[in-house]
Parts: sequence; structure tokens; C-alpha cells
Amino acid sequence: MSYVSIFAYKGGRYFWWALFLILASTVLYITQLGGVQPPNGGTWQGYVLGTVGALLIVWLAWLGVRKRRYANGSGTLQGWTSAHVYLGIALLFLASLHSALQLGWNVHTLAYILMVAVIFSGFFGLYKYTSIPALIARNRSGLSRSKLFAELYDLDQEAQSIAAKCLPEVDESVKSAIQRTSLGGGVRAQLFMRDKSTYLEPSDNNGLPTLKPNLDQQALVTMVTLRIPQAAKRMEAQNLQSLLRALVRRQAVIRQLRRDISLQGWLKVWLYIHIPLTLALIVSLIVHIVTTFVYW
Amino acid sequence: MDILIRQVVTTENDREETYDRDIQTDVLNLGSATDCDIQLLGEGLAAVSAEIRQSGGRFRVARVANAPLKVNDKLVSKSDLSEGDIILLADNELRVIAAPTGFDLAFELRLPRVQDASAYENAFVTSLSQTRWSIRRFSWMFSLAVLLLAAIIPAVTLMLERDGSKIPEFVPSDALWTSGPLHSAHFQAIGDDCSSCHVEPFVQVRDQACTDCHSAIESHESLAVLEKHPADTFRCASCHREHNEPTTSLVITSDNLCTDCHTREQINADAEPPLSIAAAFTEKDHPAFEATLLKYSDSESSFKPWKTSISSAEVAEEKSNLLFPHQVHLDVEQVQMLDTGDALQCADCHTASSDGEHFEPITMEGSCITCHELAFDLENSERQLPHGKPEEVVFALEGYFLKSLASPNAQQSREPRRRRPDRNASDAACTGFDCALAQAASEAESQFTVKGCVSCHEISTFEDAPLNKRFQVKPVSLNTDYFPSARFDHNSHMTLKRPDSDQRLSGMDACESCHTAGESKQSSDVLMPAIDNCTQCHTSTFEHFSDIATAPLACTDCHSYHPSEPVHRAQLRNEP
Repeated sequence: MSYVSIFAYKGGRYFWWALFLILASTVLYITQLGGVQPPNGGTWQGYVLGTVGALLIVWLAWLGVRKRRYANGSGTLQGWTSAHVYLGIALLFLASLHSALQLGWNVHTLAYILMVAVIFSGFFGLYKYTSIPALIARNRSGLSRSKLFAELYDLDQEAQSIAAKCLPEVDESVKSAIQRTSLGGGVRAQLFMRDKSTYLEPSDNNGLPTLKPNLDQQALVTMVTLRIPQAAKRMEAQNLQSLLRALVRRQAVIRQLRRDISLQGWLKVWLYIHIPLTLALIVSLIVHIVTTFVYW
Repeated sequence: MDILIRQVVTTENDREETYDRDIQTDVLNLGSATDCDIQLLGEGLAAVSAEIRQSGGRFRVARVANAPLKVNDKLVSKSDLSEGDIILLADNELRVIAAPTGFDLAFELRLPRVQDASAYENAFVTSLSQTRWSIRRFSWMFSLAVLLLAAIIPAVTLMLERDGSKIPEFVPSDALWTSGPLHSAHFQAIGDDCSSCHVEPFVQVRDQACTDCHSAIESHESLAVLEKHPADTFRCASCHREHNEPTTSLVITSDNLCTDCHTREQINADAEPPLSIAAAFTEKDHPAFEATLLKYSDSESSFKPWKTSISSAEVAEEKSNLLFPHQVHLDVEQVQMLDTGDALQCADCHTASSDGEHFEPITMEGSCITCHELAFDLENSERQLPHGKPEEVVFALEGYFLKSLASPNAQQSREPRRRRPDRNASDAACTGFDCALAQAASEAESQFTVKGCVSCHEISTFEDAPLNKRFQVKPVSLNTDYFPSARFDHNSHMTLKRPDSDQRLSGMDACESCHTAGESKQSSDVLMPAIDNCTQCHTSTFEHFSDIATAPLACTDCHSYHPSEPVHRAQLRNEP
């Protein structure tokens, strides 16, 4: 399934629906001009636009639930998404015409602003949905995330068992680096790929090792690399060589995973705005309607 | 505690090998993270899945988060350990064995033959859903915040304020529920006290909320018809919509204000008097102008207004009891300004009022007397008759002639320097009391019937009455408002160009282009233009593409919905 095809679902069926909705509400709006009242949510046209808009909000929210519920289902997922996107855009016009853009410091404008925020967070999500999946596929080079983690586990084990055959300080460094590898974590760490990895760097003069940052595992790789030409025995050099190979591969896998976590995060982070704002919008919509009639 | 971990590894040929290691720690961590004391992979195992602690003399395993911890094949959240117990985390098995000397606790560890290395992901937080961010929590937070700030706090504030409590301004109040700003005049009057108009919740604002203050407003005359058409009943708020933008005016200027009813035959038929049908400002769709004219009743000696269509105004006559031919006064051959000799201009007599529509009343003293002096004796032109009091005129004449003819040296003073054609030689010759009264009577009769008052006024003569009651001047009333239910701005029409001419008109030319005063020989002529005069330049809509660009007029440019004073049209209409 191509992500782009939601725009062209069934020949862009919902595009035409949305266009019809936008045109119909524009015509309805125009009939207010030169009428008895200036355009406003309180004219009969305003009531019609408002009612349709409110129903559309509820329906779109329900569509959101529905398309997630059948997320692994048939092609209808595409249909729901297509309808959700196009009718969401139409809603922006509909609600703006309902309000006649009479905005102010009140609960009615709150509902409007929440709606605009929901729709624009949806645009952000739509952009991410269309741009990120290709990046994810390219980054993983065809592997699944669990395969990469399995490989990371194996590389951890391999590196540790080779390191056990090296000098104790190298062994300690590798163990600490593996234990102190940071991957994922908090929201910022996931999204912005913040790497807080550290390791114990052996001391030059047989003192105590010190805790140093190990950004991108590069410090560890450099430390092992520099030790190869200094190796006293051939066997030691061979072990370091094998260790280096495992560590560099491990470095590459961690990079892929870090980026994968970030991309997956960006794919979903907008929902943490979109969905809560939608629920807040529904609450404020109810407040909007009730207060309109409290002070009729 | 000192813990022995004896890992049992089954080799390819089914032999078991054991690897021992000892761990010294207070808390033994089991989980998928690399820094756990025992790293275990498997479905459902988090970075740290279980902890083993010593408390008192006993050892206890407890799960962390929702790890699938089993002890002796039972899912538990915690359990005390004794020898022979088997801890199961995913497929990883830890059997409690007798601790050798020097150890507090010993385990036999069996990992599954095939490790699920992909479960290593559990050692890390790799998804947003595992962070503190939660869609569900955010949803509750946002929704409750909206509910609290937009609904609950304002409602509580409202209730407290109704009970007389003072709530600080920054607390959200029902001011947040306003659908838009109030008109500034209303805001000044009521501030943010919603309940001064919104008396009852969920009930539309009643008219009384308006009329409590606007008590002097007059109803539209045709409202009575609405009793038969309740669906068309208006509330004040049907037209005057508050909280709407732009807030500069609450007055509707749309033509629908009028045409919604004034185009409907059924409403017209039920109205008494019938409504004027008006759909637009064109000759076809707008009723002919109806002028309110004055009628004099001789029996009641008073004026009454009546209305007639302008189109029949040529037939209709206005009765002001003043004789005034506009034509004569505007003809430079006949009337000139005393000082310059120029022709009279309209503005010489008609002074516009400050409203731009009406004119200041024309008075004898203000307009006429400059030329029409009330002298009666050329010898003594400074002697003027009093204006407006016929009886005083007779007394003034009698006094004047008594003094000049009945005083001891009257003969001398009355010696004419030259003979006047209007005096008999005997008049001049006689003296004495009787002569003076006769002269006064003769002059009075002349003034009232031949040359003075009678040139402008209608005089009733009662032959048998004493001289001072013999001549009655009929009262004069000049129409001050021909179209009381319409507005017109003279100022903006003082320069104009008619579509059928290239000439720009201003001043008196502009006046005469609508009011044909120069042709009017009678003061009974009604000089008000008919609708076709207006529609040359104005129609309802701006006709951009027609040959003649028109200046659009809305109903409200000329008419008000609320009459400035109650006019009882039924009494006026169509009486002669």
C-alpha cells in the first residue's frame, strides 16, 4: 500500500465530496451577504453551517477511532484516511464560514482555535505519514527492528566474549560501554537522537579508569583502534582486530536503531497533540453550544 | 548478600555443563538490560523485570512493572523463596538450590535453548508510548482544562456573583461566554452584566429587556397586521442583533428589512391600512411618492394634514392661505434685489435647517418685509402697520389719522405738498374727528382689499361688523415637511449632474432641477418631485453595466423602521 494513494483513493472520491462541501457552504455563506443580518453564526445559514460542522467534527473523530481499530484491515483503511483528510480540510472552511471569522476572547473562539490546531496537527501528521515510511525503509535496509535488536544482542555478546580475551582494562571498557549504551529513552532522546552513552576509559598510567562520554560509540572504537598497533603479542593484536570488527558493526547497528526510533517517534508524536486536542475540541464544542443557548 | 549463580548449559550432544559466578549485591536485578545482574531475554521482559531482596532471614522475589513473573508455575507479584522453588521469567528458569558455604543464596539458571534475541529491544525505551507521554493522559488533561476554564469556573463565578460575592477580575467568568463584543453604548450602560438582558437561561432575550431603557421608541405602524401573521412576528433582536460584528451599528440597512413584508400580497391584504408594496427603488417596484399636504377648514379655522399621491398633485392643491407666485419672484424682470438689482435666489428666502433636509420657517419679518414694507402713507414712510394683527392695523390707522387730522394744527400739518392721485381732494381738505375716522376707514379698506395685506393674504370681509372686526386675515400655514416618513439630504444634492445632460448643476440650478419653482404661478402648486425624478440617478442596485451608472439607494437611506413620531396614516390617506 502506498501512503500517497490516500489522496487519490477511488479517483479522489472524497476530494470531490470535500470540494462539494466547501462550495455548498460558501454559497450558503454568500446568501447572508446583503441579508438582514451581517454574516454570523446566529443567522439561519450560520446555524446550518454550525450544525453540519459539529456533526462533521464528531464524525471525523469517530473516523479516527474507526480507522485505527481496523488498522490492519482491508483497503477501507485507505478510504477512511482519505475521507478523514479531505473532510478535515473542508471542516476548516466550514467552521470559518460559520464563525464569519468573528473571533474574540471567548469560549467560541476557543473551540475554533482548538479545531484549527487539530487540523494543522493533522497536516503535520499527514506530511510525516507521506515522508517518513520511505526513510524508515531506507534506514533499516530491509531489516525489521527486532532483527536489528537481535543482531545488537549478538554483537554485544560477541564483543564481550572477545574482550574477555583481551587486556583486563579493555575488557572493562567494552563491558562498561555496552552497559552504558544509551538508546531511546525519553521523548527528546527518542525524537532528537540524543546519545548519552558513556564508557570507562582506561587510564594511560595504570591509574583508575575514568568515565568518559561515548558519543556514537566512537570513543570506544577509537580506543580499541589505537591499541592495535601497540599490541605486544600477535594474538593480542588479532583479538583486538576481531573486537574492533564487532564494535564497528555494533556502532552501525546502533546508528540504524537510533534513527529508526527517531523516525518512528516522528511518525507518531503528532498524535500526542492531535488526539488530545480533538477530545478537548469536542468538550469545548459542547461548551460552545450550551453557552450559546444559555445566553440565547 | 552473596549469591551463587550456577548457569546450566546444555551442549549440542545433550551434555550439561555448569558455569558458576558469584554476585555480591543488596538487590539482585533480573531483566533484559545489559546492566542487570542476570540478563534475561524473552517476551514481556522489561529492562528490569524482577528483583530479589533479603528481608529478615528470608529471600523474596518481586516483579517490577508488569513482568510475567511465575514462581512454581503461578503468576505472582512477589513470593518468598525457599529451596526447590522455581522462578520463571518468560522461558528463563531460576531454581533455588541449597546455598554452599559462604553464600547466602544460590540459583541454578537455565536459559532457553534458543534465545529470543529480538526481545533485547525491551531493554531500551524505544517507543513514545513507553515514555511519560500518554495520549490518554493528555486527553484528560486538555479536556478537563477546557471544561474547567470554559464552563465550570465561569458557572461557579456566576452563581457566587449572584449571591453577592465579589470575584476578582482574573477569575474566568461568564464574560467568556459572550459571542462577541457589545455595542459600545450598551457596554457603557450595562458593562459585563449578561443578566441585564439575558434574564432567563436558555430563553431568548425578550423585547422588554430593550424597552426597559428604550421606552420612547415607537412601533412600526403595520405591526398590527402581524397578529394575523404570527410567523412574521419580530423581536427587537430580529433586527437589532447584539454581539455581532461590525459593532458600529445595530441598525439593519438591508432592503430585506422592508421588502420581507412589503412585497407580500397576503400581508398587504390583511393590513389596515393596506401596506405599500415596495420591492425595490424603481418606478415600477416602489409606490408613487405621497405628499402630506395642508388643508384649511373655514368652519374650524384650522389646518389639517392630508396625503395624496404626487402624481395627482397637479390636480391636488395645497391650501396655505398665502398668495405667493414663485414665478414672479424668480423673474428678474419683475423682482430684483434692492441692493444689487440681481434676481432673487432660492436661498434668499429658504434657509436650510441643520438637519440638511428641512428649511427654517419663512416669516414675514425674515423674508418678505425687505420689499413688502407695511408703510401706508408715502409722506410718512417710516410709519408701518403692525403685521399679523388686523384689529391693531385698524387701531393704528385710526390713531394715525386722528392725530394728523383732528389735532388743533392739523390743517397745517396735513397741507399736501403735492396732490396724490389716490386721495380725493375733499379727503385732503377736511379736518376734524369725523374726517379722521373716515380717512382711517378708507385706508383700512384699501389696505385689506386693494393694495396692502390683500396682495399676499386671503381676507374675509364682514360688511356689517365694526371696522376693527370687519377684515379677517385667514391664518397662514406653510408646509414644513411634505414627506414625514422619508429622509432627504439637500446638502449632498446641492451639486449634481443628471444622466441626460453633461452639465453639472449647483446652487439654484440644482434646486430648480427638482423643484420647478420658476414655472409656478400659484402658491397652491405642489413643487415636490415625483419618484421618476429620483430614479433618473438612483435605483436599488448599482447598475454598473447599464448605459447609466446609478447611485444605489437602500430603503433605509430614506426610510426609518421606527417612526420619529406616531403618524396615523389611516386618518390622512386619500382625503381631498
